Amino acid sequence: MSLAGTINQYEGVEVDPASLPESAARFAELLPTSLQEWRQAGCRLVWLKVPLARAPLIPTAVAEGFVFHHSKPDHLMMTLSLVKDAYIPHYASHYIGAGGVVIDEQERLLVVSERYRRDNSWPHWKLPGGALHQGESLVEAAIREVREETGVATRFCHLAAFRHWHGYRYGKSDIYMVCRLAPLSTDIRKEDREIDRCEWMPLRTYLETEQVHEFNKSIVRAALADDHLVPGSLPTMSLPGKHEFFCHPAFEQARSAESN
Amino acid sequence: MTLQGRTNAFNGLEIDGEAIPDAEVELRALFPSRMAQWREDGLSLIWLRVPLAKSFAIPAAVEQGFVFHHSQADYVMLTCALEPRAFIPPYATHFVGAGGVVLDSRQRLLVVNERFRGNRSEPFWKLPGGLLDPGEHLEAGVRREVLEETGIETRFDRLVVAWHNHRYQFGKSGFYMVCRLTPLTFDIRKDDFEIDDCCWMPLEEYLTSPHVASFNRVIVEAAVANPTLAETVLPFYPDPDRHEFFFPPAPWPLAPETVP
Repeated sequence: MSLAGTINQYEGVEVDPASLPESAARFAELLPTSLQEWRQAGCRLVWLKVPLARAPLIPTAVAEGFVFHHSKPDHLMMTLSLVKDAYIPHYASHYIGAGGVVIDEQERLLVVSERYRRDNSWPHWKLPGGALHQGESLVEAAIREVREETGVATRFCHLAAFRHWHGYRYGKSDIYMVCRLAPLSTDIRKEDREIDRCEWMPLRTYLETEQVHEFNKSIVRAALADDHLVPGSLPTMSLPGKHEFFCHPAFEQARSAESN
Repeated sequence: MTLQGRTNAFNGLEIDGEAIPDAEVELRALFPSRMAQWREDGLSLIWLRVPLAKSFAIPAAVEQGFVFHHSQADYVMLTCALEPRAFIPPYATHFVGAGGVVLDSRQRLLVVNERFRGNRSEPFWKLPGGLLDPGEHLEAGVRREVLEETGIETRFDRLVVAWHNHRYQFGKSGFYMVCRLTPLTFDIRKDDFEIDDCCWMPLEEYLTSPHVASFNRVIVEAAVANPTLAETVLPFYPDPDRHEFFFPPAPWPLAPETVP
């Protein structure tokens, strides 16, 4: 008796979670035999996906040399290298955030001051924005975050710039995408739990005040430049919920003219 | 005292691996009374970090209602929401990869045919590239991938296209950044493990080849037509290894007088 597994194209074996026994004692009997078989079959890496309900098996796997790879609320993925230089692909490495540069017809910028900030003695003005939800597009996320924090409805114009940095939550990296949005409404109804203050601030004031970090000034200036990325149409990628494409506006214009 | 933690700003309790007793019986004896105490204290969320060496704590925690949050090779982070609407910040959502559009002075494009591709009987010409390593900059990552796969040294010019796609791997999303690079060397020394063929292909041939995906054709067209965001140094960020910026090219961001 042994565990069921399928061999993938990278000479790795993926253990079938349905074949995992309930009892840790039974698992401790089956696992060494299975590992021996997979070694003999020339496998390089074992992927063991343990459902939450099979958590009692985890210490046994650790005792056999498995380490953790990643987890989601309902399962833990573990790996064991059967050869010395087995390649183990990384897991997700980044968070993606979106910030909105929203400027109205009177050259006023939509700004917020967050409640949770280091120094509460003065407002620390910045752009509304936040992290992308899993599976959400950048365009949707930028519009949603601005709407949630300020109540202002917007339309996506372009991606202006981004910042990439390392050492964010749990040692992962972050990309902050600066998006230019056009306001479709002007009444502010701010979110009270996270946002302390929200207002339409004259652009000049924002770019001159000491209450704005230099980076936050820079990205607003960048959003005013002509060079940027716009959402592009990509006829070969027919799944709009899955793919999102940004390119130079001149390129997108030429392409859509061509296809019409 | 063991199985105790420190409270954070969001009414959560964070318990480190050192606070987990060394013996499983001791942990199991403590757990129910600690849970009762945390509930009584009105905490919203409990974070428990279990190191690989104390994996016996995982099934014990799952019995108390904990679920997996995330894991790295040597630990699993578990959470238990004591308040049903407790906000649990998500873990990393994205992989970030980069591809290089490398053109020489004779308008030849550097292309690769990967070993792991759908149909091994035909070539499938792609741009060299791959995923960023943890903590690696985009500019460094794309040059490293091109060098590893093809042996060609390059200089980073501009970002051309940002492509966002969901359900890329392990249910996570991917951002693929296409970059324009200038070759500094021309002798190909390909990576024999990942790459079957590598060559300098005349641009016209690439754009009309049946062995090229439409998406790859489009991104090369975009790269040739209009490069967009450039790597930018912002003087007020002192640590260039931690931060990386992509902005529209000069005169901004150091020319505030161009702002209306």
